[in-house]
Amino acid sequence: MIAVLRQTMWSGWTDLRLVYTPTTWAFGWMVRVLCQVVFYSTLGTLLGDPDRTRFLLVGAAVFIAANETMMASASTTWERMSGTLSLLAAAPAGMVAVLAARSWFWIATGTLSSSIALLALAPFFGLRLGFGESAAAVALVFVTALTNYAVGLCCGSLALRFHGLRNVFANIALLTMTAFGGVMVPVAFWPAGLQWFAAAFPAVHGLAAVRLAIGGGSAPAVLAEAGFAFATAAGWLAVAAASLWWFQANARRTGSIDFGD
Amino acid sequence: MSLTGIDAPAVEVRALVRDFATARGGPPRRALDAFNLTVAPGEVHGLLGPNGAGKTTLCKILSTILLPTSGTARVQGLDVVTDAKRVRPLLGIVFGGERGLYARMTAAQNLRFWAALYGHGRREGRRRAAELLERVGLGPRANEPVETFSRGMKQRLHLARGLVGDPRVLVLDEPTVGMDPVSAHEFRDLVEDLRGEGRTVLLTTHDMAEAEALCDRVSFIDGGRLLRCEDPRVLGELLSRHERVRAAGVPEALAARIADLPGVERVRATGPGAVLVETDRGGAALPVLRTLVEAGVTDVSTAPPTLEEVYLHLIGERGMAVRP
Ligand SMILES: Nc1ncnc2c1ncn2[C@@H]1O[C@H](COP(=O)(O)OP(=O)(O)OP(=O)(O)O)[C@@H](O)[C@H]1O
Ligand SMILES: [Mg+2]
Repeated sequence: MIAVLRQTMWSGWTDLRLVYTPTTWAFGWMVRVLCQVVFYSTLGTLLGDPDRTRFLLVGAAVFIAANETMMASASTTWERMSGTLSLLAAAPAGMVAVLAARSWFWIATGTLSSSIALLALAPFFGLRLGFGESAAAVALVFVTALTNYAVGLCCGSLALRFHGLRNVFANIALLTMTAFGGVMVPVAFWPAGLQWFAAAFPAVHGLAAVRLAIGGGSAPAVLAEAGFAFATAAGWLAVAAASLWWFQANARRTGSIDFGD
Repeated sequence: MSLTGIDAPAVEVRALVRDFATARGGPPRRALDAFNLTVAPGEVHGLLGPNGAGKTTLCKILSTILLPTSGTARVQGLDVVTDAKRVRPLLGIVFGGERGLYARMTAAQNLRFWAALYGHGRREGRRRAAELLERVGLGPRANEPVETFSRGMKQRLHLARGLVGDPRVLVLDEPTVGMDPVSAHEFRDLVEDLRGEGRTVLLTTHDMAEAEALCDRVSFIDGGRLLRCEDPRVLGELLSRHERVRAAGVPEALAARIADLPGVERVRATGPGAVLVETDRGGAALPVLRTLVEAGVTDVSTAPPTLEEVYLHLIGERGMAVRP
């Protein structure tokens, strides 16, 4: 099993190298990320509201991690592009472990771009972070990326099953969590129903934990939010596993996985 | 003693049926129809059939990635539906074409990946990858990304991949597609080695010469049904019996004379002065060639019959109706 994970992570790494070279990552993706976060933070500055500015900065920066790990949805379906899906289905180790681990790199790059955006832009928008706060923020950004990866996987496994709708699942999930998850306006702004809905997304708790950690929240409160992130992620992971299982059973019945798929 | 008894056939297929739904609720298409097949351990068994015959469907059911509609299929005595988990480690799967490899990983990395999926640890995976790459002649390219490989090289890597789990039974679905004649020849040597190691091989192909050279037995399949299961020598005999002679610059009178030669089934005009002579008796091509050359025709060649023609003869001899 460990060998499977190690080999799969290597295969994922080669996928990442297709998506980015170090140069395109630094000058393409990172520049885009920074511009996006600057854009939202500037909205706060224009409103002349320092609190609002900081709120927008943290929300936009931390949600980069959510954004990037949602790409796990697309990269799950890349397995079909290699034509290895049928071989995975026929292999003793099965496809679940491979599909679950193959997109891990989004967790790493997501944590990295999100942390860089937060820490590099904070001083420009009046957010002073001490060393301890910065370290806590990076750790919690990692928690956000890690737990939201489960949501990406879940959307990816649905995308495998419903190939025609492959982009829809991740987009809907990302849109809802961005709209109602406390990125631009506090979650409390929305009606109770929507608040509950937003609470189903790990990244919403991850973001809340970051806000608490750098806003003087108590350690138990921070840990509670992180715990919620993990708990909701476990739920998404369970749905992802069920959906992968369903995908395989359906493929075996209908013949939708061909040699070369 | 497990069900995988020594004397259980390597592959045993009984009354296997597979229907596929067709678009817009039409009647289902039957890809396999009451199909029976028994392959003994250590046998190299050829599966020959025209496009759409059901060969790949059978391979997919044996590979546990497709369920039968009815009937049973067993590998080493284990049912591919109810015992799929125990069947998978016994099987090696290779299909033709360039897909099924991680293009950006090196050949060695690809093999190590699959070694892990077949339950081998890091050290064993490395050892197997190196050994198999040597075996298929990719040793010198082991550390190059697969995307830089030619078709034939990818196909060899596929073969190595199929062997990485040390399978007892190999399912090869048109494994020589895209190989040059030299590679295809080396492939034959490799299959001979596999036979020597006591592995069972189920080999799907359109290449009758390949089937004749490699297989202990050959099954002819068409329309999802088994037409005949034969010694490959029958195939060799059919190939020579129905040999064809192609010639250009043949005057009509000469063509008529050839049509009267013994063993000539018919002479077809394929263009102005061009003819295709079909024979139906072993050795009948020789007098045809002699007559042509003596009459001063130099643009002459012989060719084996196509699979479709062999099929027509097979079906004709059996008096079977060609399927609609
Ligand atoms: N997933 C599928 N959905 C619908 N029909 C299918 C599917 N797979 C195969 N078929 C049909 O089943 C029949 C047998 O196909 P199969 O691929 O087994 O043929 P084959 O003998 O491998 O042919 P070829 O020599 O072209 O590879 C064909 O009529 C094909 O159209
Ligand atoms: Mg086929």
